[in-house]
Amino acid sequence: MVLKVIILVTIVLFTLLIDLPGLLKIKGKKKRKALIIYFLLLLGGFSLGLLLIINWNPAGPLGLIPRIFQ
Amino acid sequence: MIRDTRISGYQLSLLMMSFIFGSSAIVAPAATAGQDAWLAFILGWLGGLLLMWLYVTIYLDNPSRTLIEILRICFGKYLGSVLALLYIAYFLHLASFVFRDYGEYLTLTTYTLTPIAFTIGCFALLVAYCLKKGLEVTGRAAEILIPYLFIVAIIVFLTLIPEYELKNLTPILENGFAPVADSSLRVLTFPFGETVIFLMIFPALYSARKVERIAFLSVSIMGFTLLSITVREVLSLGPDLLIRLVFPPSISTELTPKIQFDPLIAVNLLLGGWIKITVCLYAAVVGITQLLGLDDYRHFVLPAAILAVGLSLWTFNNIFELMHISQKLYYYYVIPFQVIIPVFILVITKLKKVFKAK
Repeated sequence: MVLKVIILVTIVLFTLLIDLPGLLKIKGKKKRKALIIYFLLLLGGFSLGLLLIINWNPAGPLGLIPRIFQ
Repeated sequence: MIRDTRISGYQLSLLMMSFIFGSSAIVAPAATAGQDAWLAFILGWLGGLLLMWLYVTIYLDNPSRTLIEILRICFGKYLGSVLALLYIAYFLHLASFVFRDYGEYLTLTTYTLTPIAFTIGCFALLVAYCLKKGLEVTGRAAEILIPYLFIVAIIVFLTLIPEYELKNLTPILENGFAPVADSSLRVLTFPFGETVIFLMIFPALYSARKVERIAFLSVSIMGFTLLSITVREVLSLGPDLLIRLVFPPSISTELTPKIQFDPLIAVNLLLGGWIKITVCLYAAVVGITQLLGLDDYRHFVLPAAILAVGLSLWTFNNIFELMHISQKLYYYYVIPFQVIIPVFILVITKLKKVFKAK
């Protein structure tokens, strides 16, 4: 589990390393918007990765959307 | 940066064809109709042409605008933005579906000991790299690689001819029309209805006037190719086996004596799936960028890819759940995105035109 967390954190850091310089170059109000959305997306992916690692998956949660129609 | 993206008509046509081919070539969406799968497919295909007419008409009424912009024009700033957000979520979810299909197929047939997360992760890296370089790069790569899809489909179809049994096609409509209608609805939503995503790509075409011809030609050619694959599966495997299999082509290709065609099917999936996920992620990140009034979509490619990979692994517990959702529930979930909202868009656009003329 520790190894998986290390891999996940490395992926996130690697992503930041690639994207942050470009994001920080954006000027004005757009910069804040872009950074917020960027970190929200990244946080989403990171959280899903963590949930997978700790094996928390209550019967396919985003299957939840199609499952409403079941 | 979004407005700078430009692709030729030929590239758009290849992108559309491989998008439709995508994972539908390995999943056989009409399989549940058994021996009538060919009939279900044809009905779904005709419906797909109708849907394509709907999407093209929407685009021609709103030239040079993406789906996100069209939604905000038709439904207003607030409702339009909410619908746009739903579409972005749908595009990401669709990308995760294809990631999982791809991962499951490879894990089940070729890389049986490799963790699915690794297979999907490697694929995601490729897709993210392509998108970072721009849609034009994917278009150009498609020019080189996609013709291979047809070559493989033709080779497999021809080499399996000795295994075909015509009696597998009969009796026609043994269980009535209901299973055929159900299957055709499935074919309509997967893969043809998914082409709604091209409302995000059409503005990238050099010449907007060509859209109509390119779109119909692509759906027709790929419809015919997928029909030949469906007929191949029914003739070679028979209806009983076809209904039970998760990935019919992986079995039918093994019927050819002395030749192992399975890797070719995997390569086909790799090519089709790569384009399909690239288009889905492109649509999602361009949607986010336009919704927020930003200029460059490339910043969001990597986090969106990570999110899609996470979703693909987290959404389904196992392949049975994936198949259950794709076969029984998927079309209820996507019909609003593929049919209902586009119909509303068309009606609102036409009404606006009528009132403007008055």
